[in-house]
Amino acid sequence: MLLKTKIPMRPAVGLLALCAAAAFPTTSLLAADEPAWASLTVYPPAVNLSTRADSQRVIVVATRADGVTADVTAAAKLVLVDPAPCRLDGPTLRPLADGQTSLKVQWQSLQAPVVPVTVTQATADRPISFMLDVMPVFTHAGCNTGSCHGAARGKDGFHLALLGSDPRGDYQRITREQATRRINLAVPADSLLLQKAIGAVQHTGGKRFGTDSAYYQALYDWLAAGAANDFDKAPACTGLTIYPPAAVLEGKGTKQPFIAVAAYADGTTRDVTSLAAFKSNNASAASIDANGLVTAAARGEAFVMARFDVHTVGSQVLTLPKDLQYTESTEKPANYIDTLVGAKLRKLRLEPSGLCSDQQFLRRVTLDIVGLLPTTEEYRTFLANPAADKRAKKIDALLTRKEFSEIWAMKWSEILMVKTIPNRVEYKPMFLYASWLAKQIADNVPLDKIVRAILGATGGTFGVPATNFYQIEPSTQKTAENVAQIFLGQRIQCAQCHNHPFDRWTMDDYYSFTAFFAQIARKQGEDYRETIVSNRGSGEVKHPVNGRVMPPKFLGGAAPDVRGKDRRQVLADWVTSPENPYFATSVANRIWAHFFGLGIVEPVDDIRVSNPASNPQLFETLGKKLIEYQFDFKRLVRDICNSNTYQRTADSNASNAQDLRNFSHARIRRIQAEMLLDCISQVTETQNKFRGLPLGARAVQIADGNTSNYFLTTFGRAKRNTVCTCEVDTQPSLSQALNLLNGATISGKIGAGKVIEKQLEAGKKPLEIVEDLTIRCYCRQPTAEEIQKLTPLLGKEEKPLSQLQDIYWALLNSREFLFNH
Amino acid sequence: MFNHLLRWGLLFPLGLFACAAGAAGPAAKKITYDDHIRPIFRQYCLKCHDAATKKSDLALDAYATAMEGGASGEVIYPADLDSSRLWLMVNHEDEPSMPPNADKLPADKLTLIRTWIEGGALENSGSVAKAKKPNGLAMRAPAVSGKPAGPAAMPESIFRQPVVVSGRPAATAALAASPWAPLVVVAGQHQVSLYHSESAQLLGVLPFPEGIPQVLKFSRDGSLLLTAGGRGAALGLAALVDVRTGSRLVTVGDEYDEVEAADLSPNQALIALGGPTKVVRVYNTADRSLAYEIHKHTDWITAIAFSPDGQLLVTADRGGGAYLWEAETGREVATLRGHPSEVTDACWRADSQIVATSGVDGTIRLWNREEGKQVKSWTAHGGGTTAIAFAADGRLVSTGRDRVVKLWRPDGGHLKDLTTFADIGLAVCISHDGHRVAAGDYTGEVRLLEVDSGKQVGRLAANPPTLAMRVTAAAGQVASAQSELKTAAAAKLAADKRLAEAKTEAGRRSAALAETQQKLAASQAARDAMVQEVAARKEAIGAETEKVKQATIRLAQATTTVQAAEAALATAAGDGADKFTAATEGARQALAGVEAAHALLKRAIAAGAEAEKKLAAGNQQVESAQQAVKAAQVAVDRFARPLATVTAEVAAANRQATTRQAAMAAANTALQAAQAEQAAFAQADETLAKAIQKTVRQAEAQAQQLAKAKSLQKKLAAELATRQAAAQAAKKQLAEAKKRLEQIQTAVQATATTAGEQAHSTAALAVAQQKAEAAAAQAQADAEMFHKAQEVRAAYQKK
Repeated sequence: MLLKTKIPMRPAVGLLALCAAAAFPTTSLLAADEPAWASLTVYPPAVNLSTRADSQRVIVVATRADGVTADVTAAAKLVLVDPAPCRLDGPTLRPLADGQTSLKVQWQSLQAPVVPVTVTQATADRPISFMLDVMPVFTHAGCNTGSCHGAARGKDGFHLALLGSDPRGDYQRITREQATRRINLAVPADSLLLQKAIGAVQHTGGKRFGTDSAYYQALYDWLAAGAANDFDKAPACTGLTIYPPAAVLEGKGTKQPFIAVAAYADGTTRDVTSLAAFKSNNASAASIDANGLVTAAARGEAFVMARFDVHTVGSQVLTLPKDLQYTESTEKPANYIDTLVGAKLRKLRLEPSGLCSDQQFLRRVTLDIVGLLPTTEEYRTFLANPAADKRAKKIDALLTRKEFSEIWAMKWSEILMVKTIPNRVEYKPMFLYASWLAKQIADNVPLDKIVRAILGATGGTFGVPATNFYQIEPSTQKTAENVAQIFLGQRIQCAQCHNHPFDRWTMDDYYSFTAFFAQIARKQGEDYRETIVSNRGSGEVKHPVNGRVMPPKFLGGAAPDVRGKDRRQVLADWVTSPENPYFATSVANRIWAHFFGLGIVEPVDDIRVSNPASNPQLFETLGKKLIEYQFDFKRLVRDICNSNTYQRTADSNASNAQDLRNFSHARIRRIQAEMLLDCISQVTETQNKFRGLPLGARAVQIADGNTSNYFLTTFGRAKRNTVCTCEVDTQPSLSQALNLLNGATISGKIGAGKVIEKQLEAGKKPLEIVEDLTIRCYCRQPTAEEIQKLTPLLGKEEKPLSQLQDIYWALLNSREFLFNH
Repeated sequence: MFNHLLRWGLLFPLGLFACAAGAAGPAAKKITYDDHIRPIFRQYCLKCHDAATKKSDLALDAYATAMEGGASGEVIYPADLDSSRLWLMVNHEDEPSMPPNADKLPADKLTLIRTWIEGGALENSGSVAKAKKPNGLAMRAPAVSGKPAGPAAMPESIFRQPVVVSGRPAATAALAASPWAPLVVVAGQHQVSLYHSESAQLLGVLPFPEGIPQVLKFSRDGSLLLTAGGRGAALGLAALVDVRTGSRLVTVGDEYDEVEAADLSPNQALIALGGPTKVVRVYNTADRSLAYEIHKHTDWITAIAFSPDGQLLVTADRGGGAYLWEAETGREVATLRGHPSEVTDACWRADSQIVATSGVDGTIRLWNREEGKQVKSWTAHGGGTTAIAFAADGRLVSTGRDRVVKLWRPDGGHLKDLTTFADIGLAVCISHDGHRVAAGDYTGEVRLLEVDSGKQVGRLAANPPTLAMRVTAAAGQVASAQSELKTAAAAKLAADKRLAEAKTEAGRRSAALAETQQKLAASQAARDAMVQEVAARKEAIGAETEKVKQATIRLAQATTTVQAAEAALATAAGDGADKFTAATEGARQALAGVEAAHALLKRAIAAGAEAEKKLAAGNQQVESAQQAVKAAQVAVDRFARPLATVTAEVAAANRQATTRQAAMAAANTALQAAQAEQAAFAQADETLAKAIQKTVRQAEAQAQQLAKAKSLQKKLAAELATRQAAAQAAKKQLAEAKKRLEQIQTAVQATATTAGEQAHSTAALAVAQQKAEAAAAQAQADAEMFHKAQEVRAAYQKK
């Protein structure tokens, strides 16, 4: 190769200098001069104790002015205002008598808000309960995980429902499936269930707990009491809370205990720290042990989760080095996006990279908004423009172009799986569907309206193209799964067979949601290619475990009255209503991901408790903004492109080099297949022919997911087989490199487009042509070094066509061309 | 008897069909596959069950394939409705019900199918119903009896001291009944309890210190009991115990998990066992060596049974696999294909022709021995059949997850439900004479039931009390019997007194009654007299009235005469005057007669009135007397009732007293017996301890002797060495020291003697050592067994 590739970016020394000159950073040495402790909080904020054996541990967290938190439970002074109702056993409250009191906590000079304590049934014994005491042990000890007895066929002949999702079945299997083997009511300690758990006999899973543990005691007591069940009597667990809700730990090895409190339908609460299963999504930053104790490790952030019953909740933990030198950026935020991103960066003590150059901005924004490269003319005009707001103007100009709506029509077509399917979706309805979608976006119809039209669609697939949504996927369950994934960013597939192990969705939720699609009627239209989709008005979904008819219920929402209505329309109204917590945020997140190559929640269609937003405030705000803009997403795009966050360079600095998720610097992205082909065609001035489209149409305009060519397939064009965004593959591969190097695309197009020939004929000098080609491909002037190296190559010829073609080939084959940066 | 049953079973449906056909008229006489049934199949079944789709390998679109059946065997048995699975499924008697997820077929269609099968499942109008295919349910070979020569074995010298006593029993793991004696055994914790199947009396407790017995099987002659089980995920074994003495004869197996199925071959040569390790291991009882292994099963072994003739072995697993093997070699004979999920139990009919299996699919299936073909299958217990047992006469008893214990005819017909448990039934057995069934459930309750009446005879605790507890209980019973006896005696005394009082009172009342009755008699007599008088008076009045009548007539006549005379007088005075005078005189006389008669009549009437008055008074008297009698009677009657009560009370008190005395006696006997048993147990305990001590002492003494002998041997050896050396030296010096020849020869002789002595001593030593070792080993084994049981007991007492 003749040319050194230019990715990653050249060091932006000049820019840094510019930044330094423009801003006046205030350097504070945090470690040397520790800021004062600002506040003190006690968790949980209120304590309810009921029955004799109940207890609640409290934790005391101090927060510094700069947000750093510390566990000061041991050092704090805990005082009960009225000591009669309960006593303090270390940091644990235990009941004494019925009544109310409050807990006052003091540490150094700080006073925490008073914690009210209520004690009821202080002297009553709660009978041992299968639901409340025994089932949680199996989950906590890991007995019912997918790799152990929770596997579909169980383990070593013993099966438990995955993560305790079927207590009735578990009870049956433990007590009566092998009636004389697993438990021994005559001599409870001899029960195989216990013998295996404590490792007294061979157990593939090894020892799970000791005989001196509370878990053993719970199982033993249950067996000794006759191993009864209380499915119907036991109150249901209605919620779980993890405390503290967030923590910022300073210094490797710093510890912070977390507690989990479960709430029950009868109004009681319970300290389930010892029963919940804890997990950290990033143990290299912060690990959490089985007792909920978090230990800070390397700098970074982690999301620690507690799972109990069917609930999973999480808390964000940031870990910082002890004596960090941090210079707070003084850059003025361009809009709310910068404020929110900046807040997170400050929390992490990360310094954002500087802003990118005009050339970089122009290429990036043109690629992102219209999927093309700026022309030489555009380049020159933009650079020559001295206006301060020329970037904003450029964004506005690009947003008015039809290519913008075409990109988004393509993106929606990808997740809506617009394509022909033999014997199901003919070309005509598919094409009508794609055209309808493109028109909606081109006409700037608000997204909620489009979605409502799709979900509630009734009519023929010709006349009402949105009905194709239900023709493409005929299965009721899959339709429900797709709706959840496309419009709500939720993957509920797991809950088809068992409660979602890492999210809130239960099988009940799944089948209740599926019930919205149980009454779709499909029949063939007059034209065999057309299907009429309508509301049958009958049909129910049954729970597969117990055959219950499931009434339609919104995901995580209410059960609406659907009598006499088209259930899909009821659902469509809910999906697009501002009250729906998922729709606006998930759509905004998809838009965000397009401009940053990464969602705030990533993957964008897998939003769940255990995969939280890297910046929850930003995530929520974008959703709110979208609602505020009445789902005119163009306005959101404008906000995003105008933010400093979008306009940062791809160069990282010392503090943010490791950061991949907080948008402290731009991310280098390979250009998506369709746009890449369009760009190549654009700079080589060639035309493509795709099935069903006129010559010269752009690849992003292809309606049918099945229409492709070798180039597009190689570069990872979505096959549109599923609704997953992962269908679009932007991973580089060897076949892509080979295709560009040896394939017909580049060399063929260079030959066919005759760009160089035309310019030579127009009398341009070779170096001028090199400049033009560089601007076309890279949106910048060639550097002096490049000129110096290329000049001898061009030789003395007046029209060095083949040399120029080589250079052109090299430019198009470089990573600087293939990537958006 | 079987043949009778069978014949009835065969004839009855045919008869029914004949009636049905007769009613339908000659046109619809034959219900055939081609004409009637195929259209029904076509409408409801062929979508899944035609030759193309053939779900579960069943194709109903052709007669031949329909009769052939599907994956689970034949589904249509001509003229045998209960065996035809197709019928059971379409009639929703069996799972999965057909057509799936739909209502039953219309009644008329079902009737057609039923009539078709009952009529012999004919193909077309030309077909003739064949004689019913023999499904092998009749006993074909005489039962292999295995009856013991002498009296059947019953426990003779087994203590009733349990190893573990707990507050609550565990789920019933196993039950078995002796094939020749009234003996039922119940598995418990580290022990097997032996009960009398007639009296439900505890006969003894066999310790099983290794864990929980999961399998109990008697030998064919009832003299041995195979106990197999162990500890989950730790140990599995099978032990053979002498039923009379309780001593353990053979222990085989060293599994890493408990044994869940086992059996002893009829000739007592083999023990087969298996469990969660999925391997069936068969051991020789003679030398405890492994005879062969079966590795075919892919899931936990759940059932093993040798055929009574000793030729075959059936084994089954948790995944539904079941196989027949040659008992001696373990060579595969047949696969019993049918159970879709866990097989829970297997047992052989006494004639070895039929083996029965039960499964969690709820069915009991009967298989023939030749090809292992299923000859009968029926759903016995919804939710799963957990245990089955054949009686000697071929009847079957079973229990399952529906909590019911059921008795079946040899052909699978339902005879009766014997009992319903509170929780799922787990184990069942039937006594040697077929009169008693023992069944146990998940809560550990074992009921002993009388087969004929279905009554519960007793409860067999898997968890009987200790001897000490029994002594305490017996003593308590004696005490309570005593106090009850005392109460009864006092009650009797009080009752007696009350009876005496009542008797006196009764006498008084009776006397009063008699008196009143006398009075009544007198009054009645008086009244009778008066009645007579009244009658007489009335008669008199009648007579007088007659007289008056006569006189009046006469007066009338006289008056007429007077009138005539008057007239005559008027006409002719003279003569007339005489006549007139005479007439007047006549008339006057007549008048006087009338007056006199009237006076008499008046008197008579007055007398009559008086008599009637008297009679009324008499009547009143009688009436009051009668009332008095009635009152007295009432009084007597009223008193008679309490008297009866008191009498009954006295009788009851008497009975009570007698019963209490008997109870007292019984309690005393029981106490004595319990005490005696405890004493005996303590003594045995002590004897054993002493024996152990003695053995230990003996062993020690023998060891000492051994040591002594060893030292002696050492000494002798040393001497021998010396002398040999001397002899050697002597030999060397022989040539040159002829003069000392004699002396040396003596020395050589002495050496020989010493060598002989040493050889002898070594042999004796070896014998002594062997003996000592054998004695020590025996003592050790006995002691270990006992100690193990004691340890387990101690451990659980601590717990």
